[in-house]
Amino acid sequence: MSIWNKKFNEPSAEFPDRVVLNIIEPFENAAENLASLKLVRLESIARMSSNLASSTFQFKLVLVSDSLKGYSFEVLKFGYDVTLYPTKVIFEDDIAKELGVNIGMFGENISAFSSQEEFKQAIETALTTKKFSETVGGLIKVAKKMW
Amino acid sequence: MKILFWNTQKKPLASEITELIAEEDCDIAAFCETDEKTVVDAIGALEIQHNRTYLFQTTPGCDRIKVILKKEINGITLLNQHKYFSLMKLTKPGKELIIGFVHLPSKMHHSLDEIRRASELLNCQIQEEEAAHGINDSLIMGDFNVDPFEMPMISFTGMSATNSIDCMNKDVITRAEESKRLFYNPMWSLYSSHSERPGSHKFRRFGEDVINWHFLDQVIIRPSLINKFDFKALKLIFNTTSFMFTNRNGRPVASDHLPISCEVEF
Repeated sequence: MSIWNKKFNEPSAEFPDRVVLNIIEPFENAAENLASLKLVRLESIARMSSNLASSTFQFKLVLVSDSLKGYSFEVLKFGYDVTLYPTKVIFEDDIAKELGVNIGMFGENISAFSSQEEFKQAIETALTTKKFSETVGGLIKVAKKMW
Repeated sequence: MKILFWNTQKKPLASEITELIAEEDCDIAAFCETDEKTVVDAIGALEIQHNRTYLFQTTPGCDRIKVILKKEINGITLLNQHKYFSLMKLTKPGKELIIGFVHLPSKMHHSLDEIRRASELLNCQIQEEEAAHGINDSLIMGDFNVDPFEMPMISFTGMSATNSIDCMNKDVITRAEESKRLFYNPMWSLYSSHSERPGSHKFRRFGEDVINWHFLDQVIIRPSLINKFDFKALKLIFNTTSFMFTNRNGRPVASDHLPISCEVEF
């Protein structure tokens, strides 16, 4: 009997990057179109220094503004393998502090979320922290001045 | 372009900052461990007492550093903002320069490995900005919280800031298939001119080493800027007309750090 008779099931969970895209989609409107969140796939040097080296697919979530070309603020990084979950997340330092994430011996904070729901909740919580809100507020103020 | 940096140790030094900026006539000044009110007060006093107009540059995402600019400085673009650093781009017709201000984690609360990690993030971000904007020239200034000879400054995975002026000829080094542009660290030149007290900060770590004086406040430049950097203008500032920043023993007292300023052709 062939070992290949059984069917391979694709996981029903969403890709972590899709989860994040769904969360951030309404953000631009909420930020009066003066700030937006961009998901960027990490390549080359950025991958090596990301502390997510063991993850095959790596992304960073960056706050930007069309009114301030060049401005960026990295909110978090995340990485996953073909199993999708657990997904590892590195939050911006102050956001990590607010979330009570443990800091490793090299100053890094890495959290692993074993399911889509846990991951989604963590991202949503990070995007409601004081640090994130204040940074967006400051960016909107500067962006308004540019108009 | 004259640039100044000062860690004011959370002290309300608005009067000292006002006179310092007025006398140094700097184009850009950055401060750390300084609250916004102190800087805004200094901007107001510069206008009233010295008829100089400076503007506060907000840096959303980087709360540790406060930056002010001469009103005449146009063409500032904010780049990446991070807890430990603020990067910006200066543009003039035909010229572009990346300036970064840093306040890296302190050795009082963090290990050298943690500071090296922050240096690595900073260096990678600078490389990313240089590549994104097609800029070769970058100048990074601030409180690195390590000496020029410590690993976070000199290691390949840290700031890669060398003391060898030969980096003008070959500014990229490759290790294990990873290439990095070097920085040149002009602070080494201050060791001879301040041989009695080589540093902007005095601190003794009992039981760890025997170094008392530290150049925690530094400026580093890409090798492409070496010929545009005025080495004579790189200095620690010990006083202004009305304020002494050190005591009789030369120890910084206004703040536990001395201000540092430098000049680059731009």
